[in-house]
Amino acid sequence: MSGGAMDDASDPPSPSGHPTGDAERTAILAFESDAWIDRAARAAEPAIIGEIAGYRLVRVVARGAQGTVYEAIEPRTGRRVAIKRLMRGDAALGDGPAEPTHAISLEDTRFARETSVLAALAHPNIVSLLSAPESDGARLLVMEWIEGESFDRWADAVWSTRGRDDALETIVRALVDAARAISVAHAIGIVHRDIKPTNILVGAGDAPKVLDFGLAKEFDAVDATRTQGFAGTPSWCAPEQIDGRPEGIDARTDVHALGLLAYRALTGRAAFDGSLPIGTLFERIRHEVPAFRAEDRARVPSELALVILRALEKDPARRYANASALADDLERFLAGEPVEAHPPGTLYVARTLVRRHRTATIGLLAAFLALAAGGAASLLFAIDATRARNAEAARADEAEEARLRAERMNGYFRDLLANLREQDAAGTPTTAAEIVKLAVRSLETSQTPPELERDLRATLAEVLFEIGDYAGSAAQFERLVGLQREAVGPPERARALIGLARARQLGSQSGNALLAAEQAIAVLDGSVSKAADELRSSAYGLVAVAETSSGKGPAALAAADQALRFAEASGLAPQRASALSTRALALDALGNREAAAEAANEAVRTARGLELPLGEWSRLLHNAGYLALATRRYDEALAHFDETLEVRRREHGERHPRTMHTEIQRALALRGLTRHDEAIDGLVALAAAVGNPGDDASPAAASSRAAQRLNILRHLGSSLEIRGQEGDRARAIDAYGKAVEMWFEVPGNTVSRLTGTAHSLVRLLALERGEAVAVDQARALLARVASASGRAEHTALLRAVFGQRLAEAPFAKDAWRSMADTAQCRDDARIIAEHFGARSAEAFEGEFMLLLALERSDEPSLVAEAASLRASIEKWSTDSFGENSDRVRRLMRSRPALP
Amino acid sequence: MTIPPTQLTLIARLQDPKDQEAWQRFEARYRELVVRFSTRQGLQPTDAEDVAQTVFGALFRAMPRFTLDAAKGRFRSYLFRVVRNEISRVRARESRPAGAAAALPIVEGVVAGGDARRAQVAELSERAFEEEWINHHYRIAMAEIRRTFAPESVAIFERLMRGEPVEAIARDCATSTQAVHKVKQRIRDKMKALVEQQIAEEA
Repeated sequence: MSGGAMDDASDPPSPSGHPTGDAERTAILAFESDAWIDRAARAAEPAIIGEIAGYRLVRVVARGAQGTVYEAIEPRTGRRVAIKRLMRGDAALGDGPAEPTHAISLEDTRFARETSVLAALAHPNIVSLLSAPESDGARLLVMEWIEGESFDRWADAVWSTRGRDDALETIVRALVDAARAISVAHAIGIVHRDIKPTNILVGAGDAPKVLDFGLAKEFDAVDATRTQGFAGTPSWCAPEQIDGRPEGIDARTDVHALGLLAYRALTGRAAFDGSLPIGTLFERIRHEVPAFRAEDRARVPSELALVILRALEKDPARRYANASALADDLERFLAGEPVEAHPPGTLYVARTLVRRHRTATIGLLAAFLALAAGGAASLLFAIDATRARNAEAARADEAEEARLRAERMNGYFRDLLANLREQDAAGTPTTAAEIVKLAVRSLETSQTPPELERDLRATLAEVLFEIGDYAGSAAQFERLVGLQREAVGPPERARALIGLARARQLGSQSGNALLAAEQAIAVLDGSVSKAADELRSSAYGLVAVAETSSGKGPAALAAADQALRFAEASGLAPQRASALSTRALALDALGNREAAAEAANEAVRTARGLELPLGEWSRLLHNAGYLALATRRYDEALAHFDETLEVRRREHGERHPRTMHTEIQRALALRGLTRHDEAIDGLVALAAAVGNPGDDASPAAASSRAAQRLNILRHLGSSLEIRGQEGDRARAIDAYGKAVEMWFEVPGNTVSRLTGTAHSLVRLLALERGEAVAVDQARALLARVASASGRAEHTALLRAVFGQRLAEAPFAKDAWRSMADTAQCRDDARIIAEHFGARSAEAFEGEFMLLLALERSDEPSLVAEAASLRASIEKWSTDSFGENSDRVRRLMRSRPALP
Repeated sequence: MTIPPTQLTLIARLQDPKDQEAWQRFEARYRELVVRFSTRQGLQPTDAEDVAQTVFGALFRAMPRFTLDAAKGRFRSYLFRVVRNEISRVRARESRPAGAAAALPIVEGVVAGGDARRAQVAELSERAFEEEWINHHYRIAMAEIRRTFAPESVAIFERLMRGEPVEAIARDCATSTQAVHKVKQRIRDKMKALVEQQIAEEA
């Protein structure tokens, strides 16, 4: 509506003479005399619309397939009643039923059923039957009149008018009452079968009344109420009602419906959208577990969510046995007692999440797998379903757009499938990874409209990410970002950039990840919305992660704080949990490990029971484990990692990089518990499982595999060193040596991944084979790094690390002088500080090296400089709590004590 | 129901077919008016419900394009035209089948047969609609007053509506005539404010 038109309408009357004037308004209102009272009295009269069986009909309350419900007045007593009447008389007015005789006799039966059921049920929360007269051949049910609202509307009003705790308790109590009422029916062998909000009215005193037993049937009774395989209201029915197996319908069908009722009342949303096409709707009811979203958490405690999810189990055998058992558990929840639905351990939650997540986000992967199996139909469905589900949380128009996209995608994959068929016919078996590759290739070679190409790239990027090919995923995201340009809005561009940053981060390219995350933040500049805040939170979180992995604690913490701030602005609990966990890593980088561990645990507590993408949930668990490990709480760490693995194995599979990463950390926890053999065996198995970079066709995949292998071998080396059995040191040298080789396989790898391992290698070599071998190895490595990376800061830092090591060896003063004179050290220290930051742990390495060099000098000016530098380093190490303190202190411990 | 200021744009909000809350409120507010007017026109309750169903469906489709513009009349007139057309359509449909013992065919206010009550209410004029419309707004306001005033005040008002003298009410309720007047005045002020507000919201 144009604003101009509205303004005109609210202006004083136009001269065109339309009766919008003050005179008319005064006449209407007539508040100057007592005429208004007459008017009010007239308005208050019920509009009598007819009579039936001696009752005065006031209005039609509802019309349904089974009959019409009227509000009526019993003239003798003046009391209001509800009258339900068969449609028989009215049918003639409409087009008429196709088979009138059959319809009437069927409805008669239903009617008789309802009459007898209601007559049998006397309960304060079930509508009472007053009489069942006949009128002109039509059968009537005269029931008590209930002044109330449908359960959903009532619940919405409760939420908006009462405090959270009060509202929650009020609604759960009403659910208990409703369930108890239904359980009375169950006790005498009757199922309602059509429980939905409009059939449970809530009146004064928040007392619910169950209506409409028109579909009720007795267990095992010949089902008079069934027509064409289905009876009930589609969006409120249980899987077994859809399947048209009457024998499958019993009290647990009502339990499911009560679960849906509870879900609707507590979240404000129907679990299943009744406006969906019936096929889609049924498919969801069969397979999709209703999700409790982040925003529901404010209303629905996770215990209660578990109760509801139990009621909503697809398999009736897993639900409460009847409404009474559900009511009992709801009462336990109200009493603060542990609910029966509560799992024996936390794994249940993870499993529930897995189940939900599996259908929601890895559908695409499933699609590719289905494709591999030649299942074209299931492929097309999976894509459609994934797209549609993703859009479900969004608005209807977005769903429509998603559907169109899904159609286009399906078209594309249909073509792809044809290609695959040819391949398969030629006898080449296809694996999921190959299919993705083929998908990428066919995208490169085909003429694809830009919009579709964007969709496809986005999908492929997601799939590649899902299967752990981070380099491949990053490449697709890069193309997507290039294609987007000005064609799409900031949120979509930001989303792609965030995906790119995440893929790069996991693909061991922190520096480039940082760039992408920063770009995402820049793209969002000026966007004001919760969605934008959510994206900002993710982007800042990635900045923080990237800064953390480059050892830039302060910058990481600042970014993590921003992430947390925007997470809170977006109001989404999962975002907040993510930001907390990222912040924990930043705190850790600053050496504040206790605070870090606490933040990581808070993140897990916040997220537990939330609807979080499983990848993210497992990240939170993993981080909490990692920090428990760092704070030497090995038992706790082990428990966290076991839980993480439970999720990751199911979610990603055994050989996924993230699963393996957790396996590595778990080995370290075992080591902390002095279960050395288990730890070492685990790492050896992992090293074998991860394979060699040479196995990969693409350089990017090879690089990511090398990064993983480096990590495993490094930890294997240190674990062997710690165990210290016969031959372990030699094995450790071997492992460190292989790890160092891996570093050269990862272009652009951060040098900090090399320094520690290289240092360990040289140190062990010195111990095992003598200093000369160690020095040779150090020099060789230095030369290789200089030629391989060509970056001054890499050689500078490595020189600093080796320099210290060699300078500390009493005999090696000459070697030291030949390697790095004072001027070289000074240069290196400057380069390191410039590159890694003046207060970074790397800068400390550089300065310490310079200090050692200066102290070995005989020149007075250099000796004086050494004294001042030593004082500065000492102050740094004491002041720098919160700024790399832990790493600095660790380094200090390994140095000669300062006088 | 307390009316938030945003409801001033209830009709305007109907421009957005996705604004479900606006549509629900709109239907909750006007459905009874349409049904009552239709039954006053002699339609069977079921047909009146059909009329309402069709009318709201038509409005749902038409409102996004609807502009309130003085030259075309106001929302109420627009609603009336839609309702009148639909009632005529239902009557025309029912005059066809021979066996239909339903409402009588009424065209242009001329009753083709039937009882006196139907004849009285046959007038399909905008004036009758206005009358129903005013009643309707009173009824909505009354419901709100019943909800928000003390039961004693409502009881006094019920008796005033039945035309009982103030003195008698005061005596029966063991209160002063002043108090009764006071209740009447308070309810009148509230009613006036509510009805004015409701009508303003149609603009």
